[in-house]
This record gives sequence, structure tokens and C-alpha cells, in this order.
Amino acid sequence: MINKNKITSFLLILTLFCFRINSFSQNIVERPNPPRLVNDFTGTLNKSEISELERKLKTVDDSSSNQIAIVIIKSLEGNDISDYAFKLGRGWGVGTKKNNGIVILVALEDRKIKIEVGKGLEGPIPDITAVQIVDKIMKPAFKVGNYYKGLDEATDAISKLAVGEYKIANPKKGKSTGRSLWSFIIIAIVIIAIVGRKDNGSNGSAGGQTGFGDIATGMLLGSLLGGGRGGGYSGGSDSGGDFGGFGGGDFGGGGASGDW
Amino acid sequence: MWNPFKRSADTLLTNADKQLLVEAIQLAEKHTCGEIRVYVESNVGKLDALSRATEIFFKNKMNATKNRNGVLIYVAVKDKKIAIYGDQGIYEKLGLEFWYSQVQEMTGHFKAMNYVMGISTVIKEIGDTLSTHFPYNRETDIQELPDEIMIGK
Repeated sequence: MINKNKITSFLLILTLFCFRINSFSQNIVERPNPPRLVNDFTGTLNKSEISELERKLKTVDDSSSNQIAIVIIKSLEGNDISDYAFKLGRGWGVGTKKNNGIVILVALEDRKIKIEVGKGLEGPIPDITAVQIVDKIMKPAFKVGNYYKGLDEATDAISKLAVGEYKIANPKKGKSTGRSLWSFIIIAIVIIAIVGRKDNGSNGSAGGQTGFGDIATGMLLGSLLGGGRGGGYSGGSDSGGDFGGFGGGDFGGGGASGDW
Repeated sequence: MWNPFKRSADTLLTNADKQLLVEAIQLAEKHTCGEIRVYVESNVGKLDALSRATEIFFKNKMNATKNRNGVLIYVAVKDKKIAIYGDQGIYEKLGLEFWYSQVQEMTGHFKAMNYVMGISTVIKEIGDTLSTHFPYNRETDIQELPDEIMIGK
């Protein structure tokens, strides 16, 4: 009986935590479950192109632990693309704790492209290099409608640059229990904060959000209990939590180079 | 292959040259709280010059300035490549155009083999430009980064 109560309250707490996720990522597209590295929400790429890219990015992830996520959306709905890409990277948890995640975001109707680089890879892929990849590789291909070619070549370039600094240290295996424990502790802290806030906040819209909460609870539980899911994104919402930081003002610098 | 006519990192600048450059940095930093450093090495390695400069910048914790206004002037002697990397605070105010112009200026001097002249000129110009955006304040300014020239392999 006590056990059941405990489980119920644990679930309740997790559900509450998911409101937090919900509010954080309210204006970005939801991460599909199970997570994939290639996410085309527009139907621009065909099935074989998607699986080809997915296979390649998975190889990059397996060999270097660098995670490159491709996200193609229809419209930014007025949001700033850098902001959106940053939130996506952080919200989805692209990359590992080394902040070695990269988000390639394409907003079709806005005709905008952004390569958001996690802090851990700012050294080998500074912002100016990312801009060059967009301008010199992606834009020319996109202009003639060859989206696959642009993405294919850009991911090639990025993964090669990234391994210049990043050799595999294989952080994936054997660490999952520690990570789960940590995420549980963090969740507990967040919950305490939220519960405290709930008391003097309004509960008006709680009913409407429960649906999402349940799904998200499932996702969260899955990631907490299930450990790795086929090597895509590792862990749950805690991994790569410190992704990038450009939007938040921790933008890298700029520079120029030349020969003599 | 050893080529006596190609300069390497430790022969590009004499001790007197280094002293001159340190003085140029100190002079430039008199009017700004920005921090300028110079890094010289032989080969750029497998990265491009700017990426390598960025790497050195972060390895030497040059991003640890209060206003994020550190600048690294990078020279790869054997590869004949230069790069200038400025931190976030400067990038936000000046964008990339400023760095392009400084690199151009520097390559001009380097082509004429006026290495010390090339580096000290851009140090002065960077110092002047930084002084308008990051003015020197006698009361609060502290030396955040050392001025000495860094010599790599």
C-alpha cells in the first residue's frame, strides 16, 4: 500500500516535471520518440535519403561520440533561427555531456539555415566555419532544390572538422546508472522548486496539459529505466543540457585569416 | 624536408623583436581594457588557421576576460598563415569586417617580410579600435592576461 502511494507520488512528481519541459520547449518542435538524428517534418527528403543520412550520422556518433542532428521544419513562425536551433539542441539534448552536439536546422518556408555548434566543438568548428559551410556548401545546393546533396556534404564537412579535435573516449557504456541517479537528483530539485511555485501559482490549465504530461512521463521513464536506446541520443533530458549557449549570450567570438 | 630559407617559429622573431612587440601590446593596452596576445608557431597542423587560432585562444583561457574582449594574433611561420581571433564582446560590436581588414593589413607587411612591423601595426590598430569600445579605466582595470609573446612548436 505504501509502495503504491510512493509510485503514485513519483509519477505525479514526474508529471509535474514534464510541465517544466513543456513550458521550456513550447515553441520548438517536439522530439520524436524514439529519437532520430534526421528529422524531416516537411516531407522534403524521401525515405532512402533519410535512411542514408541517418546511417551516416549514426556512424559519426558511434565512432566519435559527436552527435549531428538534422532538423527540417516548415516555418520558424516568426522565431529567430539561432534561438530556435539553440533551444532545439538544448531541449532535445543533442550531444553528450561533453557538449559535442550539432544541430543543422533548416526552415524551408523562411529559406533559412543554421548550424548550431555545442560548446565542446567550438574549437574545431568556430562560428565562422559554420557560416562558411552554410554559404558555400548548403546554400548553392538548396537553391537548385537538391536538399539531400547540401545536407550530405555539409555533414561530411562537419564530421571531418569535428574529429580534428574529438577522438573517441567512449563515454556511452557503463555510465548509465550514474547518469540516471544524477538525473533523478536533478529532477527532485526541480520538482521541489516547481511544487513550491505551484502553491501560489494558478492551476487553471493543468487539465489540458495532462495528456502531454503522460506521454512525456513515458518518455522520461523510458530514458531513466531503459538506458541507451540504440545509440541515438544517450540518456534522458539531462544529456547535453549545457548545449551551446549562443542564444543566451555566450556566443563565441569572430575572426579572420589569411596567407602571405 | 629542411629548408634553411624557411623560417620556423623560434627564428621568426629575435628577442629584441619580442621585446618590441610586448611594448607595443603594453602601449595598446594603455587605452583599453581589452587584452591582446600573440602566438607564433611553425605549422598550423590539420586545422585551418582560424580554427587553430580559436583552439589556442580557448586553450590559453583567453576567454576568461570580464568583458570577453581578448584578441589573439596567430602566425604559422612555415605554412605562411595568419589569423586573428577576437572574443564574443568584440565580435558583437565590430563583426567580422574589422578582422578581415586587419588580416589584410598584416599580410601586406608579411609579404614584404616586415614581420615585426606587420604584427605591431595591427596591435596598435586593434588597441585604438578597442579603446573606443572598451575604454581604459584606471580604477578598475586589471591585467587579465600576460603580454608575453607565446611561441609554439
